[in-house]
Amino acid sequence: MPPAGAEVSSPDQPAADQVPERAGTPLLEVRTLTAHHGQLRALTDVSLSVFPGDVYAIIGANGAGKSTLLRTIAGLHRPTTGSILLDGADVTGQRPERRLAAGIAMVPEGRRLFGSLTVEENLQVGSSYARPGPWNIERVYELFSWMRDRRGQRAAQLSGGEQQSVAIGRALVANPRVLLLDELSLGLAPLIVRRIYGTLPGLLAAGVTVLLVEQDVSQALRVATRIHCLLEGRTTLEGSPEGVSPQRIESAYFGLAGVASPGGGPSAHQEPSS
Amino acid sequence: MPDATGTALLELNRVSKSFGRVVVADELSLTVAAGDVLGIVGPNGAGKTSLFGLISGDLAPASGEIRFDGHPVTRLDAAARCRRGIGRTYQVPRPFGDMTVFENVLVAAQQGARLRRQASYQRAAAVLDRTGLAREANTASERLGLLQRKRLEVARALATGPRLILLDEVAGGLTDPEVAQLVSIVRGIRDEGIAVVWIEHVMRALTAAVDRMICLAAGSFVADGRPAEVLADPAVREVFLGSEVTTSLAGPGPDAAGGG
Amino acid sequence: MSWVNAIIQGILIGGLYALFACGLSLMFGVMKVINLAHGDLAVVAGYLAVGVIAVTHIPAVWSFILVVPIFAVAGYVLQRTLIQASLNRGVLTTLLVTFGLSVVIENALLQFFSANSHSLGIGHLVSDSFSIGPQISIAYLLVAIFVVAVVVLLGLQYFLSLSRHGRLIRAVADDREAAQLSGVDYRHIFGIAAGIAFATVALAGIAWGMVSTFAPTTGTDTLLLFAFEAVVIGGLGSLWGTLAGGIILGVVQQIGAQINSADQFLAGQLVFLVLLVIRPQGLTGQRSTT
Repeated sequence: MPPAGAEVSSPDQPAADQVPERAGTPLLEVRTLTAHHGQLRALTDVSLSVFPGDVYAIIGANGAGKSTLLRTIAGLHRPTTGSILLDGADVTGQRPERRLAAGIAMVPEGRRLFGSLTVEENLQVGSSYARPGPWNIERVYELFSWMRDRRGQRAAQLSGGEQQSVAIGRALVANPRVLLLDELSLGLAPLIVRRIYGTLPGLLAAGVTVLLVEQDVSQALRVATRIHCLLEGRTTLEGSPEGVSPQRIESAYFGLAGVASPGGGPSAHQEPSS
Repeated sequence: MPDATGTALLELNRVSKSFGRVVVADELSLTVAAGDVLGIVGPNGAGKTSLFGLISGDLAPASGEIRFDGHPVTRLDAAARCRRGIGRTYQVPRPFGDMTVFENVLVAAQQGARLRRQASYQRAAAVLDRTGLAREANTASERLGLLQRKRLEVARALATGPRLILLDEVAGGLTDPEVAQLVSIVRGIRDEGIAVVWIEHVMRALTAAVDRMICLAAGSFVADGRPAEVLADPAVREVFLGSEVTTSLAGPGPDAAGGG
Repeated sequence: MSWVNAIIQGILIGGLYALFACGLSLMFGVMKVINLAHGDLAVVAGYLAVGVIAVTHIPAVWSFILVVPIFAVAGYVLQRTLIQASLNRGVLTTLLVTFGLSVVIENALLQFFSANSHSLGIGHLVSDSFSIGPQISIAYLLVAIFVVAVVVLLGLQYFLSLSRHGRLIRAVADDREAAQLSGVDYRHIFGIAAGIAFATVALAGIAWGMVSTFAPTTGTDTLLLFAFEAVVIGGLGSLWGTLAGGIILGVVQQIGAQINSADQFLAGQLVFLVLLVIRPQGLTGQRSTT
């Protein structure tokens, strides 16, 4: 029996989301974002607000639209409708380079290091257009202690976990206000994943706000201050991890009608067939 | 319910495949009988599409044997296997753009099923009826909407006259009514005696269509059974949701507070 | 001429071929553009030099001082406008555009300069030579061109390895999207790479004009072919590969000329074809792993 007032929906019923608005101006705000890949609608009316100091985690199954959301926020993908605001300023039309200057840096899925460049050169490229701030190459070497000794090595020769650290470093040296992490755990052993996520507190202490996409739900819950579940491009869950039961997460993740009945919420309306 | 008396149509015997250090198939053994409708689920990178590649002939296994209708097909390439009766759709529908819907299906009938002239036209027309594309027969395929493109993907696979059809994530991006239409097409395919193996992450499509579900994770089968059982299986939950959520789900009661 | 002489000539002219090739290699390596107008640009540089000399009366040897910077700027502008626009529409479109550019250039040259061949008259400098022993005679000009080519290639190599923009160019070539995420305006970087490519091909064209003749069609029927072959033989991997490729091409041509002077270029073509079959990635290139 699901807890009363479960906020769970199938993709054609918008989340009966009655989560109270958090106070203040969000650092990063996404408003009713809709995005397509060709004809396929990857995101439908997705909204979220990230506040300074958040570790905001987006979870969901394959094809849920998580990476599309992050790429749209980073500027690599053009939304169909909706807007993205950084500290109140509309950045929706800006190219990725401008967004970096504004303070949004992304660690893309699959690391995407510059393979023929050395570790240090990767970091140097990352700092080429850096904003002023506490992060620099030296500080990245302090954060990842192994890196200094290997800084002359070509990036393509590193292991997956090492590449992930360099990719994070490359984004950090730009001194972003919001750091986007896309599927950090992909292709990495669990121990390595934990170690990398273990660096998050250090980032937060230095004033970076984190918005991450994570396939491993448990891992996301371990670090998140805010959780947002997508299913086939729509929001099925949004809230703080403490207030969310595993059952609600499960139904939001799989979206199976009958796993939980949309009991006490306001009546949901059916999406007209298109 | 899987047909217990059905003869094995497809057999995989300890099939393995890796790409460098990534194992996409770890001694997989699988039997699919004629008339089965099997759903395959699993997280990103689990090896689902690679599994299809191994069955359809797009990928050669590193070890193991694959038999179709009792004959070994391990060494045969995709075209040869298609002619034997293994049909497949691809994740990203890529029809022959400037050709009409009918022409696309015709090519499949002529090349895949080796039908000629009259027989091929009849097959193409029949398949278009079954997949609900009859009205779009003369539309250029690049002008189709999403659901129609997916129907076309299925139609092309059907036109090759398969005994087993592999559906690769066809339900993505479809609304509820569209998913229902897709499910009824799949049911129609099953009713004709064609075995169906369907990779999908849109769970509600699978639960409505399949009798049997398998969860694939890191190249191994983690669960195999009825959809409701598989989705409630802790091993499957762990694969998707991770260990802590799974433990909490199995915990004392549904009202236990969640969270890590 | 002796065999040794032929080989030395081949090496020296190979340096010039490498200079031709490096621009082609750069544009492909960085933005995946095969510039079919590459050879024609060299010819335009030659004609421009002729014009500059006529107007300013500076000695032909120094004409590059004006022409090369003009070409560098032209390369940047052309890349940011025409080529970028066609890149946005796909690889095939870009190929067609550069092909079209080649046709336009050749016909414009034919229109203004007629089909007669020209060269950059540098007087006695062409034939001044020194001897090593009775059978070896080397022209100072060839040596000078070889030295210039090597210096330019060295400079380019250092620029790419050590400078900030060189690093950005390499980064964009590796992963354009990831570079964007690091704040790099890739279109600007493409422009710089094109500017460098145009500058080197202009220098090569002027050098060619000193040792040989050029006509409106020389670009496609000779120069582009040599540049292409040098790139393929040497591989896309490194500039030293390009130098090696140029030298091998030059040497093979000269040896071919020794055997039968009519087969000079044929020999080069044959070696190119053979290499394409047995080692398509060239000497220094890597097999793509797909």
